[in-house]
Amino acid sequence: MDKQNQELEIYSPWRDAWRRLKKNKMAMVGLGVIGLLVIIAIFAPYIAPHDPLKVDLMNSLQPPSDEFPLGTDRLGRGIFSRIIYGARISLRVGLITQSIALVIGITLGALAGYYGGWVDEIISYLINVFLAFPFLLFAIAIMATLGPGINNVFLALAIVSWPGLARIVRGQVMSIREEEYVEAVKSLGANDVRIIFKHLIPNCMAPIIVTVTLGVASAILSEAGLSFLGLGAQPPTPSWGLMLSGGRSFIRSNPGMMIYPGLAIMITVLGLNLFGDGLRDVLDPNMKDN
Amino acid sequence: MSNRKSIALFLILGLMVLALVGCGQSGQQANQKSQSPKEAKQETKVAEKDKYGGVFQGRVASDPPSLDPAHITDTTSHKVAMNIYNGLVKFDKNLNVVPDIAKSWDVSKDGLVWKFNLKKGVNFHNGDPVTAKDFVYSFTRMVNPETKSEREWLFTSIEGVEEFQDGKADKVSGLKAIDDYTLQITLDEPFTPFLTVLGMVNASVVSEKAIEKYGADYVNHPVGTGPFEFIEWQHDNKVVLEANEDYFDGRPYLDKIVYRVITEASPAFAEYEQGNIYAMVDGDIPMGQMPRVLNSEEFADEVNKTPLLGTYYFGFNTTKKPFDNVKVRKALNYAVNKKAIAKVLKNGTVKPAKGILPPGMPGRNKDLEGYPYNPEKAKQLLAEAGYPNGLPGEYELIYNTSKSHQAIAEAVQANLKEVGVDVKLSNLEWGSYIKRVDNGETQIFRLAWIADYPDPDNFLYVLFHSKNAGPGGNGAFYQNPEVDELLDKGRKMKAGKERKELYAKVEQMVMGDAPWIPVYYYTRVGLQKPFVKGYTMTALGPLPLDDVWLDK
Repeated sequence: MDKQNQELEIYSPWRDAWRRLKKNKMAMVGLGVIGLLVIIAIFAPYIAPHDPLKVDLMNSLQPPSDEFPLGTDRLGRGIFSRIIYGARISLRVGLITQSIALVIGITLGALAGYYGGWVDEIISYLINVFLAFPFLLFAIAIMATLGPGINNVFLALAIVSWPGLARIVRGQVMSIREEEYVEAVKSLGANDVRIIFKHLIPNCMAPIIVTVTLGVASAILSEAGLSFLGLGAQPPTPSWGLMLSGGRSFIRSNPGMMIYPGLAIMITVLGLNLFGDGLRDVLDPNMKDN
Repeated sequence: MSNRKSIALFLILGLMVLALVGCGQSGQQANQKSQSPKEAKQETKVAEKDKYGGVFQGRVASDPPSLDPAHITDTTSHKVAMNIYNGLVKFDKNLNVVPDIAKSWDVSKDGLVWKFNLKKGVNFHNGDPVTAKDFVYSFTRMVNPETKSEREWLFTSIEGVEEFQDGKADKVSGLKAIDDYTLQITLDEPFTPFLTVLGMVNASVVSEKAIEKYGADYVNHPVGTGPFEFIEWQHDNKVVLEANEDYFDGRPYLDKIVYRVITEASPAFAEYEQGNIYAMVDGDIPMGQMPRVLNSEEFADEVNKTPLLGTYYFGFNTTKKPFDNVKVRKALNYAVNKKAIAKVLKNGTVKPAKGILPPGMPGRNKDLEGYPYNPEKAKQLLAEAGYPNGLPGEYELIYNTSKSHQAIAEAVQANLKEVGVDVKLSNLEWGSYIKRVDNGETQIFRLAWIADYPDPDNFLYVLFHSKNAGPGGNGAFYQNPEVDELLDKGRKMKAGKERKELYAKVEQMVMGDAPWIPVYYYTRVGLQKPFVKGYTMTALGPLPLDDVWLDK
């Protein structure tokens, strides 16, 4: 007789994916980095020992010490504290940029994929035009027009990111709109909007999630690049890219001013990319062929 | 990306980082060329003929805005152009006026009629000889409304300029070529600094033929009489000059000068260390390297410090609220800690400013206290002006792109925040920046003024006379009729104690109105390679390179 209690596991593709993801060590490292970033960003005021904006010229260019774990910059601000607060900026850039791109990209992509015809032609044309521009150059051009500042960075990066997302959503929607369950729902009298938003899009979530995750990494890297060039965040904002740029004059005498923000960017972006790759492996191995 | 590849990438990047850290600490010795300080100090006699030859590698921090004397108002353009042109007179290393193309001159007793005797055998780079008519042409061009010269005000004291500008006369009556080699200039009223004005690059003689030929494109084909001829200008890359074999004062030693446009200080400094640039001035030296340059043995025989007749300041656009309120301007003056900026951000090489005129400028008011750092007083004044909680909203502080200006701007931003004033920082490259300042599209702006000639008129008249609002030099759009009157009077007074006292009074009045926050007086920290000889730095900047030779 079978004395064991056998638990019936509810099979769900998401749970299954999660289980497989957990086995991917690198992806888990990536997830850990992301978690760390979120915690640091949220709890910045408690973690950072100093005010990242407080100028104190008498403490200019101090080497690492007990008081300033990573030393100070030209204006006497603690580098460690600025990196902590910089996490907030990076997180905001990633989330806001991708959120805007998500809304625009999903809507336009779904409309193009579902309706086809001239709707698709117009939207596809737009997508192709936007995608023809080199990513960072396009962002730089937009910033040059809008003027510098972190808020314009959100807009510029969203404008540059939505086409990629839209194209993926369009492809997905096109491939599943002929499926039987869609026909079934249609015959039950569902209107188009309901079909798109309640049935089609949720079934595209896998590639969307992957693209967005990788998009966050790309956004963070791009913001760092734009701020480094002077087109993004303006002083005294503790953006990691801006810190990199400010450290340039000191690369020989105080290399930490560039190394630490550089490491922060690198670890964050790497973590996001590792996690995103892991997600892609798990959710849709076919995507790798794109 | 497979997991193994990710690990590999991570390791490679980690190694790169470690390598970079390692380089940073021990790298101080890595880029040294042979340093032999003892050799440099030996005065071995070098035969004249051996001094000839060589290419001087110079650097400019931005593409020069102009090489046309009618449009030069900035130090970068001046640095390049001074080698291409000559005028009637020039300055020696002590800033005394000495002959250039004019070999002698005299002035009538009433100070109105100046007569210049010109040297013979002076030719333009295109071969044409220079005569008095060419000077008449050049100065007329400066005041011609069609030229739109930003420096026309230098010549408005010449008789007949007004009638010419209004179209009532077709030439300036005060400019006469008596014969080929005698030039006569008659002034409306005595103008004491007139001779020194003639030493400025804006008073250079230009070739009418070249200007007619090239028209608007003249800026890309400058033709002068100077020790070096213009060869080519690759915008944003370099300007190349070659020795003028027929220079009237003798061919210069150098064969060629190349001014490379290197906007960032760090790469420029690296180039200097590699020996690809021969001379640097302190705007060129990155902040991080300053302590090393000033204090270590390595640069002991290359570094030089020259006080400059210049003042670094933040100006208010006094036409814009709330900067039209003198109490607000005074408050912000008290809010900024100039001593800390001079000591920390400029490594103590400069003196914090108490007034407008730098030390060494005649007419300077030695009794001025200025506005020492006092945030409490600042808040109090703001409250008196009607802003007990600081200024509402956010204001823009602009500066021209440069890491050192950025650092100072950030310090000022923090100072202002402490007394309740929020400013956001913006920066533009120099050419576009100066346009915004000239057009009054500013609220608070950073600038500096380096004197063109050692006379207080060159500071106070240019910067604070209402006539010069905007592109004339008065970026604060400051207007005070009493000050205007005194400034006009000072131009005509004979040099002496009374004149100095007049300018001291003007300085006091201007400081009382606080259209600026003067921050510090310039000291030029320069570097030059030990093999560069004859390179002279004066309180107004470097002299033309006609006496420079390379000992290598």
